[in-house]
Amino acid sequence: MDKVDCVVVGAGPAGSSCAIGLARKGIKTVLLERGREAGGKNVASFVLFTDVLRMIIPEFEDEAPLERVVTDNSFICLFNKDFLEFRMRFSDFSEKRSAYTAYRSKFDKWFAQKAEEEGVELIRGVLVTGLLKEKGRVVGVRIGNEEILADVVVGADGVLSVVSRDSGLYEDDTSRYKLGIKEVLDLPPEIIEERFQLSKGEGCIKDGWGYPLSDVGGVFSLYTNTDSISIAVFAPIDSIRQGRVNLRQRLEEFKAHPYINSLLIGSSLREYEAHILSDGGRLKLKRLYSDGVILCGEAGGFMSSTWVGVPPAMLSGLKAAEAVALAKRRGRYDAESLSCYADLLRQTGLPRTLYNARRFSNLIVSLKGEQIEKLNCNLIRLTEDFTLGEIDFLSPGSSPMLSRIFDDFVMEFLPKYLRYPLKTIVKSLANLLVLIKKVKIRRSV
Amino acid sequence: MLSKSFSVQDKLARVHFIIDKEPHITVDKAKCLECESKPCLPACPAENYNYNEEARELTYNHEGCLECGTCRFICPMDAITWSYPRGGFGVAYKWG
Ligand SMILES: Cc1cc2nc3c(=O)[nH]c(=O)nc-3n(C[C@H](O)[C@H](O)[C@H](O)COP(=O)(O)OP(=O)(O)OC[C@H]3O[C@@H](n4cnc5c(N)ncnc54)[C@H](O)[C@@H]3O)c2cc1C
Ligand code: SF4
Ligand code: SF4
Repeated sequence: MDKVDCVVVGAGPAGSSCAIGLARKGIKTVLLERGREAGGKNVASFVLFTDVLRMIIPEFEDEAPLERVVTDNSFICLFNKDFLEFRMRFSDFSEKRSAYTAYRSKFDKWFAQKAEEEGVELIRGVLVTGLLKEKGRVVGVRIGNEEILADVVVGADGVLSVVSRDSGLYEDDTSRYKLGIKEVLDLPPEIIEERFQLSKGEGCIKDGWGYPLSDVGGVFSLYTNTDSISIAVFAPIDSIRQGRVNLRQRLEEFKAHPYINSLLIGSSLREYEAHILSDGGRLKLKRLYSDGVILCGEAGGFMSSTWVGVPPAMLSGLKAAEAVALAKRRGRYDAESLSCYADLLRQTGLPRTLYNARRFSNLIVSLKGEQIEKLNCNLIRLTEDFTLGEIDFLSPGSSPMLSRIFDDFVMEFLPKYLRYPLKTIVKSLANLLVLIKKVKIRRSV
Repeated sequence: MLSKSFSVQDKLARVHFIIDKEPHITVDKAKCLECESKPCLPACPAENYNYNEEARELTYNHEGCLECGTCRFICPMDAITWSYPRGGFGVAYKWG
């Protein structure tokens, strides 16, 4: 193959967005995917927040393979037998169509096709095995014995990225990895709508923690598609390596929980899937590019389990395309010329969000076992002892310290869909503290 | 109850694979004899690693690999060599 301007490795959300961005700037781009179909290797729960995609393809709703528009969103604290669920409906969600459920294998395939329509050459079924280098500078990719030469290589090859490792920009940090195991379970649309109290075409997403993953700081999710439910459980790789968790069994325990079971009754298995994910961003933006190479998506650490991965993958892909276009104008693709990538990223606020998300996920993993159970129990007690309706639990400033935690922490650290449930929790705790103080004062009087 | 509880083998029967004869996983089995905790056994979502107590031998099967990447990071003896299957081969999810 003749030398091309740019090779993008990986046709996931990051690679396809980047390729679209490059093609729109007139840069000759080849997009390489190891699967026979783009998406055939990829796994997510999968809720798609639409803000970034809307920027790239404003009319995506007319053609993208989407399942249900998310109108109902909850956070579940699960106990051995019981549960506590914070559940919301937002008119905002349905009016602005902020999120949809979807399947990765369908969505990624469609998105890669959009890149092809922009003029990108998509080659499927090729595995990039390493980088071609000349005097330390990346000059192309190796595909077994074959080579493709390029001015610049974009690593968009996901969490197990060959490009980020072979370029020396990244070394594995297993403390940031989690394994997710997922099942897609068939269930007729009418039953889903009745069971989850949804109108036709509307969907719900439920995330949560606690049983049966509290000892390792794991989390779970349960999302509705048109005629199926996707469930997934997640645990840190370190806990798996230490033999503390058999996630296959935990998935079965999760499904057997009375509440979860009641949501899944009558369903049957359609597909079983598993994938590792990384959590919470790279701290050094300088480690995202080097001479002739640039990283985006999960290959560059743009992912956090509390902030989902597809929108940051798309956004970083777009910014990488902008950086390459600027470098092309300068006529050089060395690290210095590509360093505008860091500024472009900073302008989006993405690095800061990921940094905060990283701190939040550290907190979840460090809040292990008893602490999560205790927190869950306190929440139950809280709802038993007080009727939330009688407490002005959303009034700010009821406890200055907790309010601050709320403002700094909840609003900054959390994905949009978790903000509201946790806002309720934090505000309720704040009020609980105030009430306890009042009771104490009354007693002492 | 759920209509049916599946074994991992039953679950894998619902996944499409394009099987590569060339294995993308190799294990230096001599090291397994020294390995006490054997985390690969509970770790793999596809239950691809098994230990035959009688023969004192680790067995594994690359054909049912979901390519999740876990076993790349969990072996205490560094006995597992893992790469992706060749381009176009391996797991081919229909839904994902
Ligand atoms: C169980 C689970 C649930 C998740 N749920 C959600 C969710 O609900 N919402 C959300 O937004 N995010 C979710 N995520 C995160 C999300 O899937 C990732 O963050 C996102 O896919 C990253 O996109 P990417 O394009 O960087 O990488 P990927 O999507 O991993 O794409 C990389 C692509 O590169 C290809 N590739 C890899 N190596 C090579 C190579 N050497 N040569 C050629 N091609 C190669 C792969 O086949 C793949 O198509 C979830 C992740 C998991 C594991
Ligand atoms: S963890 Fe590694 S050394 Fe131990 S049994 Fe498994 S493959 Fe062998
Ligand atoms: S990559 Fe995952 S599915 Fe494949 S053998 Fe390793 S742990 Fe099992």
